Amino acid sequence: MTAKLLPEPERWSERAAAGGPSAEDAIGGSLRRIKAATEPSAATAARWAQHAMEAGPRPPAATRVWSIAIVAAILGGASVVAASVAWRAVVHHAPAPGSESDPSKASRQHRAKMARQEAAPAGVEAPAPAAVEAPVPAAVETPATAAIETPPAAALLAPPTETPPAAMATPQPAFVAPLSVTPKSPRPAPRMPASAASVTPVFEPAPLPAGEASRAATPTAPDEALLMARAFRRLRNEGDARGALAALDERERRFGAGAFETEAALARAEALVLLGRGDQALPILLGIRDPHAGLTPEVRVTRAELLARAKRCDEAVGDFELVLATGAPSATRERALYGRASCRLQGAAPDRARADLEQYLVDYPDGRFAPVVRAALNRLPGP
Amino acid sequence: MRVRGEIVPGRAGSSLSVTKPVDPPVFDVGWLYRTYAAKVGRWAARLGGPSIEAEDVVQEVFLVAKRRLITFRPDGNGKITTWLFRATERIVRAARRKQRWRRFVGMPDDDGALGGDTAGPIPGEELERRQEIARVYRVLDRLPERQRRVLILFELDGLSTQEIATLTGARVGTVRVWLYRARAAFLEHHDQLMARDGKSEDDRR
Repeated sequence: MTAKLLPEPERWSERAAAGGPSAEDAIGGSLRRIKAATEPSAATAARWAQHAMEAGPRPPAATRVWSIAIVAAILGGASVVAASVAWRAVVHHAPAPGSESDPSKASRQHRAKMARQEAAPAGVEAPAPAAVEAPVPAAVETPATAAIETPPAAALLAPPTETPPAAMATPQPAFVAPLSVTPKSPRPAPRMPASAASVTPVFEPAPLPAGEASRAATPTAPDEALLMARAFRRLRNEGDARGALAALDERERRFGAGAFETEAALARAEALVLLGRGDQALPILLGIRDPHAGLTPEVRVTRAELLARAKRCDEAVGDFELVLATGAPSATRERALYGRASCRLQGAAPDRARADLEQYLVDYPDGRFAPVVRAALNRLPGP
Repeated sequence: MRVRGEIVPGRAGSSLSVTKPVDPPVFDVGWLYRTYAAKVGRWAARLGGPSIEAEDVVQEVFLVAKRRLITFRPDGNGKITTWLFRATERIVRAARRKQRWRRFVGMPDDDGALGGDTAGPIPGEELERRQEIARVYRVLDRLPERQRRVLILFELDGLSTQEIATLTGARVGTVRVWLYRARAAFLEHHDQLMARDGKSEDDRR
């Protein structure tokens, strides 16, 4: 079916030629004059074309208005932000750097907590110093374990003879030798000696849930926390110290100091000790100044043990004493007492060393180092 | 990109029936300006009325054309004409909105293409011509936009309803309906205006 079209009407502008008296005729006359007035001449058209060609890229008015509005909005927003910052600076006194109320630090600690939660198994609340406490028993070859495994100065630990032992005569204490253990190759999974079971870290990292682990292991995850989680997982769960170091290197390359500077330093120290590179771990531990997130008693005693191994007993004793003065966990205190006795023997202070050794046997008669301590006491000259 | 010669059916003398250059060496902006400046200016002056400066519209249209020429793909006869017409119509509509806003806030109108040079004294005949043009456009401005456009293209530009349909993208039947309604509305408004002007004239006397 075809629709019937209206016929094309007659133009008014052509009726005017007839000169009739109707309104259409008058309108037609007007239209014809308008038509003539709006018909550009060839010169006018050429001028328009020329002007159009010469015209620069002028933005349309609407674009200009929008541009002005956007610029004004940006400037206004920037002014508001600046005023807000100034107001906060005036009204709220900025906290001293390093203080607990330091917002940047608070943010950093919050992010550290989030990372720890990331690394911890679901449903288990990881304690704050988790990343710190773990390195100690797993990584550091404590004097006791070293002495038991390899009694290098057997002669020095032998029963005292008539003459004072050479070790006693010269400042070569019996307890120094165990600290100078040759580096050990990294173990596939760091295991605690049976005797050191009590030194189980507060945070015992467990395998991450599957989803969590895969997310943390995603190499493209740009999150610093994920890199930290990866480092801890390799270090604690897989015993892969080199992999942990690689993850820590990547974190440092991407984020520099970042929000987990202290935790990364501790993890790196742990990995280095695990690799037998205690000499490299020591400067890292010496660089940690944060007493809350960094220098826990376990870290402090580990640092002291490394200092003692490096024959820097003067510095080590300070850490040992600090640990003993503060209510450190029993296993940590045991190590500190043993280490201080060792350093005091190095420092040719047998009386004070004897006191520590005797105290050790009182506190830990069945302790990890008890046999060695008894042997040393037997060799020491009597009071 | 090459452009085929634009062969548009139309009545002799109508603006769309002008023979276009066939196969220009390159589809460049200069060729576009030279070929279509008169047509765009004519559309601008007639659609815009006395308050719109046609040359400004021409420049705006060709600035838009220059910006978008690279994406233009002519795929049929009259396509570039349609494209330019729609750009012209949009710009004229924006200019008219701006004029209405200026009137609303009490600012004087710009002198348009039909306004001429007002610096010197205006002869009586010229003044009468301007008043006549202004009256026609006052009536046209009362029409709905589609009817106004169709009536202008039909009466002033001399296009057939088929050509108008091509330009506006509407069907011929629709264009004719719009045209009939526009003519009826125009007559009605014209009579009202004439009656009011006559009454005012009588009142002045």
